[in-house]
Amino acid sequence: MKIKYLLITILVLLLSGCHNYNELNDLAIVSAIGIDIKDDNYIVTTQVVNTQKNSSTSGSSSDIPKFIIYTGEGKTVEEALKNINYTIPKKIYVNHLQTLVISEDLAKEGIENILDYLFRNIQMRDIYNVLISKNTSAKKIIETLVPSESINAKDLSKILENNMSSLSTTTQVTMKDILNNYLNDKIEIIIPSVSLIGNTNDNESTENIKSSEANSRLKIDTVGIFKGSKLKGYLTADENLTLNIITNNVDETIITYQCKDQNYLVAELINNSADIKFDEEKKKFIIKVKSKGNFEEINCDLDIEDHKVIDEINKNLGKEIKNIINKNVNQIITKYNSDVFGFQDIIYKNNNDYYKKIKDNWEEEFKNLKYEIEVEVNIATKGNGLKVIK
Amino acid sequence: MKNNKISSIQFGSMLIMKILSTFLGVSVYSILKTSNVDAYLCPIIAGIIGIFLVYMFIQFLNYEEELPLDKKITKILGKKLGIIVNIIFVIIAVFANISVCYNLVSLIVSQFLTKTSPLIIGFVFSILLIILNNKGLDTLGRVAQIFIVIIFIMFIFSLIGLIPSVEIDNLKPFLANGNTGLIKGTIRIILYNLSTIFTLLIIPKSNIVDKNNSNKVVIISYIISILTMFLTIFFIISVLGIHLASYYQFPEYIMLKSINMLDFINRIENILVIQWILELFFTGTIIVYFIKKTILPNKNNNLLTSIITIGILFSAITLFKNNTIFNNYTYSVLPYIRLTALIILIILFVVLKIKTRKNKNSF
Repeated sequence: MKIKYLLITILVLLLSGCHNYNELNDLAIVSAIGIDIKDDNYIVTTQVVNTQKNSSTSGSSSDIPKFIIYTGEGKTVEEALKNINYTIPKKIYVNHLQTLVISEDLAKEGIENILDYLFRNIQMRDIYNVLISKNTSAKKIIETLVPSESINAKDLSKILENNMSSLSTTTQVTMKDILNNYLNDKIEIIIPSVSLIGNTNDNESTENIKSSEANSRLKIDTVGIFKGSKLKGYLTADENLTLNIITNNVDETIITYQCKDQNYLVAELINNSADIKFDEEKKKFIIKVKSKGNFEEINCDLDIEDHKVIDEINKNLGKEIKNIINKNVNQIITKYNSDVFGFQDIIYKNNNDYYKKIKDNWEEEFKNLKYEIEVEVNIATKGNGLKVIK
Repeated sequence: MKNNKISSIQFGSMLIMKILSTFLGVSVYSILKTSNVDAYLCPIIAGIIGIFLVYMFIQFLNYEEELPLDKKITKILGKKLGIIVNIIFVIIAVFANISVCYNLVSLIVSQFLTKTSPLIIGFVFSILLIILNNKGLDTLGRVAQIFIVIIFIMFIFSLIGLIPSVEIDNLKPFLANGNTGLIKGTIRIILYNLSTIFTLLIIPKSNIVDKNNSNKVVIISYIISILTMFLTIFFIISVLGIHLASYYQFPEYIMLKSINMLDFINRIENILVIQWILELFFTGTIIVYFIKKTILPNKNNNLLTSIITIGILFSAITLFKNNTIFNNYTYSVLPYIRLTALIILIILFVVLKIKTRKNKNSF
């Protein structure tokens, strides 16, 4: 009986949850991390949510930055992150990381060394967004105060989501996507970029968010295209849209085509799907794209009540999409020689026997890749108007 | 007062947990390594082959219903040979429990309590295990029934949450790596998971209250276990992709991080992982029960339970100084240990069949 009570006492002590615990007040919750490289050293910038100041009742809360920047330097990412502890009074907690910004210089040198750390860290969840700081440092991006959101990591995520759901000229990429594509030698990595526009020196001042038009702003840009672990360049908006169409990543986008002289027709495509198959006999990819949409703007005198006219518009929109895809796939292959579409992966997964024959000469096959595009557009609704105002 | 009786459903619950316990961290790691993208087919093929093991299990269970496994062995092989075989089974059970114990502690230390000593975590579970074991078979049965309900609620919840993250393309190419990997993976599931069910024979059929249902429950529990294993590995590969999945020690846990239901039910992996912790804990408990009952069949010796449990805990921490040693052990040594047990059981089964046929003929 005594042993039983002793065991219960020990259990109560051990299961109390007091060992190894962390108070919420003692945690520095990191919302974004920026990684730069300088003289072979990593500079890690953390954006820590300023919980202390937000709860303060004295003073004007709008003057107080909602996040604090801490920077550390080291030979490795972990060392740099740990070196922040010289200046921070709390324990760095990265479980709620929303955005990771990698500097362009580092991306050009190769990101393989930082990937292992990001994969191995048990605190980090691999569903955060990853971005490349274009023409600026990652630190500069991380420390920028934005007018619309108190934490700029959230702002960046929302701009990304907004672009994906309205234009699809960039691609939202999480760490899980990067790791998956990096470990798969049959598809290359892409990472969207972010740049600082306007007066880039005002970015960290609270003055930046006081005026109705912020002096410096963050702009989500097209994706950076990689070969292996190294950044090779950036896609144009059209190239990025093509990539998204082929990889089934388009939520919503607009297609503009010239219907007459200097007049245009704009259609919003809301339901897009692409199906890619490799035809072994013809030795070419068959890319089938299906889109549904509605009219957004018509500047030509068209009788849109006539179904023949609608059919004609559908055909022309299809042609326009086909031209965009045709031009850009070719351009991406020749310019970057990077298989971001995952063509090799498609053959490997669906035509494995054929893949075994060509895998040693894939580089050559890729350069001379043949493809056929079929586009089917169906404009289902016309917005408010049944006729064109002209 | 202990009545040492359990229901057939409780017996079935124990069987499911016994089969599934080594799936986390051991089987998944091994079959992803051997069978690559075809790994999800291994549980199905193993399940079909394993029907023979279930048949063997039911035959053993029905033979001399009053006797536990150790006594059945002595009756089949005679006293001297029976004792030797029982000693071998105890040693194998000890090794099996060492890996279960380390796996449980390793999951908790590597994912949650990185700064806590494995000994403390192991000690906490050991105390619970000792208490549970000393309470007797009826308590074990009730705990198994409660655990299985929690496990299946969490499992179904996990699957529903993971459906949006499934990418069927990740399961391709189909059988591209040849049959060798698939066969190896299947054998590993048979050895790691299915061959472990025989530990439950330490519970005599006469201790099952509704023993007439026991055969049916064993078969149903077996099918549920196979389906659970198939779904787990199917979701791991389709959610994470084979490249990423094979880089993790616990891909099942990492996979749960992808759950995001209705944009507000997320970050629930630490709750859902309890399903595997419960399976591992209960398996540890039942193995200790097996060892204890084989060594001292007629006594419920609390001291012996404590010595076995603490001994296994210390052995696990001393033998496996790190995950690499553990992974090498489970990948290269454990299959042979399990194979030894399986071969002995098959021999036993053959002897049993010959004996029963002889008895029939003599009548």
